[in-house]
Amino acid sequence: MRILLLSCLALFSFGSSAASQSHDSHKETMGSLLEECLTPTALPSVHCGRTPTAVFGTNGDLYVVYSQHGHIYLTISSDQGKTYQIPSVVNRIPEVIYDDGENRPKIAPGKHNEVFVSWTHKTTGRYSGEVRFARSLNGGETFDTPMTFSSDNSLISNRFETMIVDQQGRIFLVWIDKRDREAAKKNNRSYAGASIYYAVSNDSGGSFQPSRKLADHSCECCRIALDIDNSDRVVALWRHVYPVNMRDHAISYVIPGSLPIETIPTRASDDGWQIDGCPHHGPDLSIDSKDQAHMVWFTQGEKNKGLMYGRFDFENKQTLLLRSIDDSPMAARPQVQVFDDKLYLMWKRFNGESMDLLLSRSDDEGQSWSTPEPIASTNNGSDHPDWVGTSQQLFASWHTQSEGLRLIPVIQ
Amino acid sequence: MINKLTVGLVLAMWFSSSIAGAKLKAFRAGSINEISAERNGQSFMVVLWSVDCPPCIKELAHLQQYRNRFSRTSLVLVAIDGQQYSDTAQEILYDNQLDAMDNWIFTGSMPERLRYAIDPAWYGELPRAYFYDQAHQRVAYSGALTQPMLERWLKQ
Repeated sequence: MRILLLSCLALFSFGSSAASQSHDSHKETMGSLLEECLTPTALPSVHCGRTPTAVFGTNGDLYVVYSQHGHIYLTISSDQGKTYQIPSVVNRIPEVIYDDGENRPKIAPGKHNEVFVSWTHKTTGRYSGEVRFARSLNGGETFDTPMTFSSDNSLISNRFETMIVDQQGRIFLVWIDKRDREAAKKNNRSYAGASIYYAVSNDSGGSFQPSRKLADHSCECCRIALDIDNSDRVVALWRHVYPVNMRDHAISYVIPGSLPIETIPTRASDDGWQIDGCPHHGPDLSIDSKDQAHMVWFTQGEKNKGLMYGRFDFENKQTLLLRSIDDSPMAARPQVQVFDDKLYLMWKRFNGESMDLLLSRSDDEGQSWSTPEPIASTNNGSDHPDWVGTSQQLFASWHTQSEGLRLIPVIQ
Repeated sequence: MINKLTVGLVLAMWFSSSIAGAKLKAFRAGSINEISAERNGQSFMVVLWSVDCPPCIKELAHLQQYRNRFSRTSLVLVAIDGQQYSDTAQEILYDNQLDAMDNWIFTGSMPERLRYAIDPAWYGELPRAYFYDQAHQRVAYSGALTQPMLERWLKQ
């Protein structure tokens, strides 16, 4: 008889602040350890704030959003993160913001000096929130009043939003939504996991079309990964709940106006991870010039354990290549990036003394990977790492309690 | 009216102080050895849990049924959430009548260090239990503890 493994993975990111506001004093002790950040009157900065998320604009400036004192701030650096300008406030009214590694503000530059920002506001009740969006039409100097993507009942959770702007300039927001789960509950029906919804703006964030469902039965609390293929189609990869409680991954196009039947998700990973709980550990995705999807994820399945890499082929609708990247119990948070037809993979691994950020490269579309090399290290808490780059440069961006936000050059 | 209010207030204060009374101990890198040293020659069980893990909450409810057969020495509960969840963890332990057990909560900026100190081979899955025998040889178990497992353990 098969043993049902009832387990869930802990949120091993530093200083999750998903608790209520009354826990602020504790939260501060979990924040940055830099001297400049330790006073209660510390000014907002990328180093003192939480979960900074960066992107290069078309002009080569680095735009960073982060969460601090209930605000989302935007700051700009013209020297690749050495110095930052005085930040602007995205949300004028402070609120409780989800700012753990898995749930963080997102930023995307528009084509005409716009800056788009999204985040999740924590609402009353455990595990509940609503997705917010705000835009700037003047390069981030000022922001319009934030919009909220709530379901009919704001106590229904919409969280883990992610955002991407396609080549046409359409803004896609994709998130994990519990409206179908709640509806099933009211009718005394069971519903596995949550669902994936999305909304699209065709007018640079002036308005969004009504939200639509992408898929039923996603995992409840793992971030979604998005990328765009060479035909300007948005692709989403997320942790799904396959029967029964099998938390492997699903991949799908996000096509505005399509019916859910037209974008039925395809299984992208089959590790056999049966778990009654949410791993808080979402995948990452990067699409190459041949439209192959390069995917990385964490699993504890019966077939595979640790960090995995997979290459998904849309024509065959299956993952044709699978590699174990790091099966150490201390390896976590993999990020993959295609750059000049090479693949770069980074992840965190605790070595018994400190936390290393490791880098590995593949020159043959994921068949073989170089021996991992540490590119940075820290002795205290650390955020998820992320890629940030231009067409010529690639950096690893990593926020750590002792060092603040670092941009570590990978390709220069 | 005033009397009723006063009684209500006193009751409320007593209630909140009884929750606050069961403070969780700060779990640091050396704590697992400390826990073991305090129980020299004795068998005991360590259960790791989180406020954010629904199967863990079910596990606590399950352990509640056995609470009279455990003592503060034989059952150690460690919440891996970090100090900012201390109040929530205490409320959950109180609700499950496990607040009198030896309760700890992860402390410090690097939970990975604590996870490594407990067991470098642990992927972080919860619930997770360690059964220590009298010689402190231990067996790890991931997933919800079953009734036969607990019965077997308690009969030892």
